[in-house]
Amino acid sequence: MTRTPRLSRPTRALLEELLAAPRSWRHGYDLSQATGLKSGTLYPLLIRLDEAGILESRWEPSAQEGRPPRHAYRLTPNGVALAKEARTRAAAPKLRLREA
Amino acid sequence: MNTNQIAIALLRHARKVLPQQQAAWGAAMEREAQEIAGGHETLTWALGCVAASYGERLKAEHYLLPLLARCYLACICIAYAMGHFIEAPYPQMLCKLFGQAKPFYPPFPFTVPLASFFMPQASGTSCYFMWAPDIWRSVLRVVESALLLFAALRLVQKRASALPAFILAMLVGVVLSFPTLVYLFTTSVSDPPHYGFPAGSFLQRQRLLTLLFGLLYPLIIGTGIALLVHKGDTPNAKA
Repeated sequence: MTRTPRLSRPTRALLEELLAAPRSWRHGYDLSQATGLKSGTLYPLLIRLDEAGILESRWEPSAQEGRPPRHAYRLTPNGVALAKEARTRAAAPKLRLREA
Repeated sequence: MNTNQIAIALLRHARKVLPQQQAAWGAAMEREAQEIAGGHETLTWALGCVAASYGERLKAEHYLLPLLARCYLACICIAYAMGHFIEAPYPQMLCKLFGQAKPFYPPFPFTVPLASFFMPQASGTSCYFMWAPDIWRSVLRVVESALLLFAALRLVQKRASALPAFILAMLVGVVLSFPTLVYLFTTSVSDPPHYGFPAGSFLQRQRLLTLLFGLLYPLIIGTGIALLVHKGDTPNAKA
């Protein structure tokens, strides 16, 4: 059984945001605004997640004419599963406390 | 040159720094900056992109280079820690033994880390803060040493907790240095010698060196640690 790696808080925040609309393509600046992550934190995460197959990316034509395309991202099916698992694990300790 | 122009220049630089295989990400960062209203926010975005690009470049160069860099920084942290362990009890014991404040210079091997890393705390001439109880200085030194050793370990393990541990150790160092800094910056160069410090230009040099080494060195090391371990975790979920 593969050990699930520990995720940092910025990674969890990013996955949570992408999980909110898993089939929607999101842009870098939108993700930065939504998660509060600065570009210096966000892009290394996006690169790592893309390389790990958790994220997929594509170039989208710009909504504004004359502007170059924008890079967009969304979770892969593996990424959705990982994000859901991370969400469950994050919630689990709180549930145990309530039961006690 | 206005803020937007600086941001554009920074983003172009970030794009050049990124490894070849990540060139598309450089273009992506640059494109997103066009969606920002401008001014301070664009500059912040660009600075973050530069930091990200340097981090990626370091990681991509070769496995060995980041590992060597981490080990080097870990060795510096260990040297800092060992310097504190070495210095902790001796000056106070010797000052009390001889009844006078005499400078204490440890034997040769120990002077190397002390000379390199201890200028901010004026190693060996710490008798001047004899008004403070010995115990709290020793405790703080042990705490700082432990934090530095922890930071060194986490650094080699490529864990993000290396950075907060290092910063916390430096903050403890600031508390330890506080009596030194108060003395150095409130004593006039015309004052008579105190506790082994000669007066005059030596005090002036000591102040400048204290400030320089005390601020620059931890900043450089902290930046290196941040680039090498921050955001280092990656879930591996390739199908």
